[in-house]
Amino acid sequence: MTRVVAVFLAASVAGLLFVPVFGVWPLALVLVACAVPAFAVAVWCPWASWRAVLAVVAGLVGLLAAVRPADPVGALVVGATEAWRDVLRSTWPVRPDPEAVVFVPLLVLAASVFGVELLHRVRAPLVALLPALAVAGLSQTYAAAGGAPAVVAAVAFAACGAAIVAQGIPWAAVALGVVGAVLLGLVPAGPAFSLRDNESAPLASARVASPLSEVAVRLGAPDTPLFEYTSATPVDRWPIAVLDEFDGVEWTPGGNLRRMGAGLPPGDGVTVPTSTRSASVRMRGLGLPWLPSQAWPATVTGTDPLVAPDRGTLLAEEPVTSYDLTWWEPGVDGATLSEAGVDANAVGGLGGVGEVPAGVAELAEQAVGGMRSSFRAALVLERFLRDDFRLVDSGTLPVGHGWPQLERFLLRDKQGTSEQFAAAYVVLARLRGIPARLVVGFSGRNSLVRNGDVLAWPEVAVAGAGWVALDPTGSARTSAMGGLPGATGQAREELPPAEGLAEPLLPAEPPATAPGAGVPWRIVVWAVVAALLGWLIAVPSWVALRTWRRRRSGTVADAVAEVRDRLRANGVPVTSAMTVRDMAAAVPDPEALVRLATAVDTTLWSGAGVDARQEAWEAVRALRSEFARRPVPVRARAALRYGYRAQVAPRMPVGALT
Amino acid sequence: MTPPKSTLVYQAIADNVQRVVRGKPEVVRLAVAALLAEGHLLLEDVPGLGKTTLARCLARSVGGTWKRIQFTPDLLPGDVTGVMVYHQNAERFEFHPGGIFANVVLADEINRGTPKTQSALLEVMSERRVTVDSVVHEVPRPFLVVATQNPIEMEGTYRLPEAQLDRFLMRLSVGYPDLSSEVLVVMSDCAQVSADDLTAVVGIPELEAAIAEVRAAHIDLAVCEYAVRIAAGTREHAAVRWGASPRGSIALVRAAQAVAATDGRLFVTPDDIKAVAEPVLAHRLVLTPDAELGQRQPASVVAEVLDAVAVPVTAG
Repeated sequence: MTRVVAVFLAASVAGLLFVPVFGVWPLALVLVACAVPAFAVAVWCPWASWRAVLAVVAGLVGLLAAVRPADPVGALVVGATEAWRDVLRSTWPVRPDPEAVVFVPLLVLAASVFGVELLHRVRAPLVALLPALAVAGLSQTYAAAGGAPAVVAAVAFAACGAAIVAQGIPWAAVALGVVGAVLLGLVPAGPAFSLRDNESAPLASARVASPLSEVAVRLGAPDTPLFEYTSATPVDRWPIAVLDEFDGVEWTPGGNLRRMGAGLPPGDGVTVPTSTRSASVRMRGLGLPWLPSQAWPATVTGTDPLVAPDRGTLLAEEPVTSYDLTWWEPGVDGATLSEAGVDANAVGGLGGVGEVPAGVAELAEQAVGGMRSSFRAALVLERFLRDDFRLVDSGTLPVGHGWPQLERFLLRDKQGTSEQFAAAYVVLARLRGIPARLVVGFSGRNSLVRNGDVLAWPEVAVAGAGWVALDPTGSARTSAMGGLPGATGQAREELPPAEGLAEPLLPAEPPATAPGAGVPWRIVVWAVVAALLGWLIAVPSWVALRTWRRRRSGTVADAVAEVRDRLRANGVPVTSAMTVRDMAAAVPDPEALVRLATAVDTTLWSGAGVDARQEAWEAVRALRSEFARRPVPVRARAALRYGYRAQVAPRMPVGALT
Repeated sequence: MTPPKSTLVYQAIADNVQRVVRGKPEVVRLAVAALLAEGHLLLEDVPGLGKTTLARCLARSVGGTWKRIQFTPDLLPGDVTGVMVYHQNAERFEFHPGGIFANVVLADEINRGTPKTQSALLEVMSERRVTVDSVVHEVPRPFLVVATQNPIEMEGTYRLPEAQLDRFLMRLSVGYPDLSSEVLVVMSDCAQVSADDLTAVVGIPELEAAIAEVRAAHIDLAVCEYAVRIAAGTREHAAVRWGASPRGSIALVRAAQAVAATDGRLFVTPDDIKAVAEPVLAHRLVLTPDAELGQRQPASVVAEVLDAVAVPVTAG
């Protein structure tokens, strides 16, 4: 039974390595519901030939009872055939839909049942762990479990292996655990390879009109209602698309689309404290696929959209009537913002700008005045466009956002819609090293958003605060808004005039470091910790388990084996070619071993049917008492030494005797 | 608990022998074990270490008949086996038995005899009978040959044929005594205590009964297999050209049975096998030329084999 427990435990540990994909509780619930009934059948089923089938059936029943899908058969089929890919195309943790969640318990169930059958049918018991190891390996192609979880998992595997080979060769299990811990510990969590990197959710509609091209069109019919929202606090803007890739002609969205999972964290670039805000959105006339969103969406309920996680863009493939949106709001004030630097590592912030026409670079330098890249420089650039350029919102509206239109806007006409303002800002900012992107959306000044609220604006990546929306057209509300827009307005109002401008006190440029510098140290530390931890736990555990099993069987042969291992652990060079009397000759006080030798001789070799098991184990106890009187450091060393090298007899020069 | 009869016989002979042979209890034990196993014993060592003394002590400790044959180059096979002599009065040939017809035969300095004479002795050791003029003459039972030979100063001697050395159950070296033992030896000599002073302490019937009891000592299948694996191990060793034959395996087990009896047991343990492995197997090995050039000794080869073969452990 211990071995069956170990096989199920190892498979469950392998299943739990999918925690980054599904979260802890949804996964633990289905694993327990699936594994417990299967385990009961595997242990107590009286028909060995039907054990595997009945265990699978019991596991499936438990699984379906836990997730209760509307279509049980369909859920199992989808779970077994398509869920593995759907999971890769979703943000993590995945929404706990039955079709998606059953994917892992099915694997664990298969590994457990297969492992138990191997345990009963194969001579090498450790083979029973191979299915669980395969599941663990598969989990690592989804999400690498680096660090402490990997070490814990490997130690658990080692413990299972030790339990399985309790009557075999323990170093194999110990080595398995230590090597596993080291290998898993070597893999840094997060940025390691994942199959997810090569997967993205395809958009059903092959071609989608750029929302930037629709700005002028929407302004031509300003009263058309698009959507309405309710929120506890005013919402400054409703982005619908982030366009951060520019080739000189077209602005296009970048990044991969995924199915929106159970929730998203704020981006890596946000290090300031965050709070959540929420709003309910009801659609009125806004066409597919764009859905009003925010820079850092947290959850979406009421629909199942696609999302570009790095950009916050939401897209729907089917008509949506309403949905609830929760998003992360970075908590930062205007003073902090005005002294902040930029985040050069922000995704899409320093993309291409195409072939820059003559005079634009000089204009960018003139606009910023040679300032270093910072949020203050971004505000200076914003003021430059707001003061020197004119926004038009009626009459014949200029259209276009490629370099010909931007060149005319920047160098000749100096008037345009928010489309030209935003596009021009982004290219000028990028030319000055300020990470910026172009966003298209709507102003949130009214709860009922119409075509006339359409807006394009630039966002710059601020260190610690994430993407901050700017307003080069001068149409935004002021600091009364609150939140990040309010802080931006405050920083804007406190911006000194051009003659009084000074560089913010930015930290010094970090010294250039080679990619991956520092990682080897972490790997080394983890490797050492894993090896040490595995050894500290596995060896004493295994020794205690082994002694318990031998004492329980109580044979004289087990007593000899126990004495042999005790002597090895205490540094006595014992080989398999030594009799008990040979061992007695190798220790200073041979009395206990001589008693054991007598018991062995009369029990094993006399042929008289003598049972001297009690005497043999009394001799073992005497030996243990003798060792227990040794100094503590010696005993500690013995407890952690398995001494496996000593158990092999010296090899003969040629020929192997087994 | 009453010890086995064979143990009492061993104890009596060993105590008697050790009145003269001092400080070599293990050698005496193995020598007496060879007698209890009814196996022939070859004592090999440099002169002056008591080979002949030990042999004579063994012979005198046992009742029945014993004879000493001093091997010299002019010794003839007939001197060993016996000859047919014509008696004129009776007008017929009559068999005159040689020195081999005794319960205990002391073959002193066997390597000084010619190969023909050695061969005659070795043949009788194996066959336990002599055939002269197509007439078979059985040697008395029990029949034990205790031979001595000097391994140095081989010039003018005839080395025993290696193929026939395995007629001896054991080959023992007496070895130098330690200081205190040598003092006792010298004191005994001064007191004129010699092998000639010993009297038989065991009669032939008791010895035969002891031999039968030893032959019946229990040996577990696993222990027997252990002995065979050791013998087989000598064949696989890189330094060995010819290893121990199945006769060596049999000798190993028989010697172990006798050693067990000397310890008061009528069953064999792996320790018994290990105790007799070197004296039983070493003289049966023929080393490779390279090993001999490298001064390898058969005893060290047997020790390596013992270190390589796992001791059996059965459930119990």
